[in-house]
This record gives sequence, C-alpha cells and structure tokens, in this order.
Amino acid sequence: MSSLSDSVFKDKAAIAGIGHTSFSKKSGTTPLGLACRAVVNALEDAGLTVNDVDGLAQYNTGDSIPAGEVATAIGVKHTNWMLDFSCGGWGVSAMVGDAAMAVATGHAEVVVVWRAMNGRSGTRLGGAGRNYGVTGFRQWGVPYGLVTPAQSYAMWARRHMDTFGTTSEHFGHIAVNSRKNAGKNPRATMTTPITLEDHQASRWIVEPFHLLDCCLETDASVALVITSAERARSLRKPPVYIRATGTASGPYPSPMMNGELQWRDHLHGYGKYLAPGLYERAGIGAKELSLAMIYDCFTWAVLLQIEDFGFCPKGEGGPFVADGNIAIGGTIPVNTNGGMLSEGYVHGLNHFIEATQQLRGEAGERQLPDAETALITSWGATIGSATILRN
Amino acid sequence: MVKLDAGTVPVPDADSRPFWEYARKHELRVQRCTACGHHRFPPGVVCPECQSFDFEWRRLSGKGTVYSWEVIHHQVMPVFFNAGPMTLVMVEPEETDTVRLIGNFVGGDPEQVRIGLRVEAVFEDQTDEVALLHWRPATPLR
Repeated sequence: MSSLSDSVFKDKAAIAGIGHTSFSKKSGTTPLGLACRAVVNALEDAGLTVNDVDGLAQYNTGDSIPAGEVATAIGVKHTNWMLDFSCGGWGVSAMVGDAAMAVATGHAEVVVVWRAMNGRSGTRLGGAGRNYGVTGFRQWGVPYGLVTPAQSYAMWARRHMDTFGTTSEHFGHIAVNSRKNAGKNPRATMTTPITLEDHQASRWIVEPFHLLDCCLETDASVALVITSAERARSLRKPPVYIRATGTASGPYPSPMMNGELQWRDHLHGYGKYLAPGLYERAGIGAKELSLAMIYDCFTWAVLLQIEDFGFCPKGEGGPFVADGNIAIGGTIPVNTNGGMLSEGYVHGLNHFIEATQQLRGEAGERQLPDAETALITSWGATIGSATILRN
Repeated sequence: MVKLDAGTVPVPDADSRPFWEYARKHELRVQRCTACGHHRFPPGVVCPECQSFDFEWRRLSGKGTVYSWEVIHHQVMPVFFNAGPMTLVMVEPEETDTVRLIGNFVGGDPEQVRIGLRVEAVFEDQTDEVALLHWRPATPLR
C-alpha cells in the first residue's frame, strides 16, 4: 500500500494559500457570507483568482451551506471536483486529504476548502440547537410553495419543452421503458407494466410532471467494496474496474431550489461540463458504451442527461427516447434495472448494483449480450458526477 | 392569498434583511455591484462577476417577463393544502437578465401564463417583517 501512496500521493499536493475572517461572538453575517470572505482571502494569499479555482469542498454538521452555494456566490465558472462532507471534527483532515487526492491524481488543479460557521450567534455545538425557519436559499421559494425537487425542476423542464417542442409523452416513453425493464428485476418494487396512456392519466404532481414522471421513495441501503485492481483479481467475482470518474458544474451551480433561480442555461445540466473530460479520461465515448445507468429522479432528468452525455444531439432527446433507442436491444440501453422510477430510490447508488451485475454477466433475464462498459450518472442538476466502469 | 405559517414564512437573515425591508415598503430592490454593475439575486456579500464586496440596493420598476412557470397540484406544506392548483412564475425583471424572481401568478387567468408573458410585481403583506412578491399580467401602456 505504501508504495502506491508514494507514487501517486506523497508530496504531490500542497497548501498554497490561507484565508480567514475575524473571529468573534457575532459575525453579523451568514455562514455563506463568512465562507465567501475566507475563500476570497485565501485566493488572494495564494496570488490566485476565482478563475483559477476548479474544485471546492466544505464540511459542516448541518449548520452551514453547500460548496455549490459558495461556488455560485464567488463566481467559480467551472468545477471539476466538489464535495460536501457532513461530519464532525474527525472529518477535517479527511476533507483536506480528499482534496489532495483529487489534485494529486489530476482530477482538479486548484481546490478551495473551508469551514464557515456562526458557532456562537447561530448553531452552537454546545447548545440545544436552533430552528432557523425558512431562511437561506429556502426563503426565495418555500413561501410561494416551491419546496421540493419536483417543484424546482418543473421550471427547467418547461424551458426544454418551450424551446425544443419536447412533450409529456416523450417523458412517458422513459417511464414505460423503465417499468418494462423492472419486470425482469427481482429487486424491483414496481413491476406491473405501464402504457403511455397510464403515464398520461397519472395525476399531476406539478405541471409538467405527472406522478409517473417521478422516482419512487424507498427504504433501502446499498453498499460497494472498492479495492485495488490487483486485490480484486484475487477475489471471488470478476472485477469491475473503475475506468474514470468526474464531478463538474458550470457557472452559478447553486444547489437545488436555487438552481432554477441562478443557473443560467436550463437547457443543459452539469453533464455538459462533465462529459467531455470524463470520456477523454476513459478513452471511451458515448458510442462505445454498452449501458447507461442514468440518474432518474425524474423522466425529464433522464432526457436531459441523455442529451448532455452525447447519446443524441441537444434538443432531440424526446424523439430519441420515443424511437426505442433506450430499450434493451436499442442503441444505448438505459436503466436496465428499471431505475429509480421502478426499481427503488437509493439515491443513485442502486445503479451501481445493476451496472456491476451487467458487467459481471450476472444480470439474468436483463443481461445485455457483450456488455463491456457502463456509464453511471449522479445528478444534482447544476452539479453532478459520473463513473465509467468496464469489465 | 394564503396566510403563511412558521413553516413557510421567510425568515430574513443578514444577507436578505434589506430585501425584505424594501419589500415591506412595496419596493422591489436587488443588489447591484458598484464596481462592475452586475445585478445579483439572491442577495449575498460578494459579486460573482468581479468579487467586489461593494454594492448598492437598486430599485427595479417591477416590470418583467415570465422566464418559466409551473402549476403545483401536489402541495407538501399544510398551509397550501386547500389552495387548489397553484401557478408559479419565474420572472426576469426588465432591467437585467441576471436576476430571476419566483412568485405566485395572481390577478389573471392562469391559462394565459406562458414564457414571455409580460408581468408586473404585486406585494402581499404577510407580517411586520415580510411582504411577499407576486406577479400579475402587466397593464398595457396607455
């Protein structure tokens, strides 16, 4: 283990700047404001600017703001790495170490990490905790009824429909395909086939999303064991190699429920910023992939990612999914397990189970002949990550 | 409209307090960076275009166009359970396309809502601290 660390990590990353705000009992500003000041100061100390930054990470115990909010506020235009840690004091060096690993392995060039907290005037670790109510990013949507991801993404989807003529029926084809695949999946919770008519008749959640456009809500856990390629080869099952990984966002990636407000271009998501570098590092493009496990919180999100990851031209996702291209046997099978729309919602990690089974040859009735590679996407609309696996 | 409760009423913070104070006076104001002129929203301490910490609160006319819209049928906050289908709009003010604001569509036929519809701001008093910002079809010029 130490020789690997010597060659890929030791002394390969360095701290180049430090920044901070004043330390007080009442900052008079928000955790976001504190984070902005400290990060800008640190960049000044390093002699760098916001334009040099391509990675961000923060940790907190539910008392701060996500990295994407700071990226938005200070104007980071493109990220290659972002991480939000929810942890206690144990996680500080872990965060710094992960940032260093990203840099050392060439996944990011300049990463800013921070801790921002109103630990005296706000949430006190030694106190009873405080209910802040509808503040922070929530105050701009919740008072008007905009609370949930569906209610945020509906604003995005309407732009795609208005611009490209994408229809609710296009979304329906994705739901129908996923449900059909789920019928062959012993893990799946929803296996009764549905038709396009069933999709259209399902009740409105928030126009333009019907019930059957929305993923399930599920109690479950999924876990992976990741080890070295050499070690995996010595173990029970055929290894499924992690070929490439990536995380990315574009300008103004403020997380969900501000994403509709601040993100500039609702016709593209994070995939536009992630796919090119990911495919280059993998040495595999959209046309070579055997399988696409697309994060399917909503049918519309699948359609957007199909476009952004290059399976069809921008704006043509509707006709593409309506023509059988994403079926088992189609150009690019999508979510052969039924996805989160029909298998179950384990926040995207369940897609790794299916991809691994497909690449091991263990997918039973759903097995794709000659499956060699798989893309798995992890969506946050404005920010996202993805993995390419191969057998 | 709906009287908000503790689960839905905005709680002004250090960044947003001036916005809500102006709204309570029925003024729509957003931050404009005094170094480079960029308008930003939601409010924050720093300019995302030039990283200056200097800004002013610029008063906007209240006129804008619908950038996107939706109709909520499935509500998750109890205070909205009896509100019926609720049309929300996201509006770009006429002064700048770097700001968007979300509000309820009021004072008009929801069927007429479309991207590009011209709208104007309407304030709805909620508490001593907060007035909400909604949007109605713009009155035509005389």
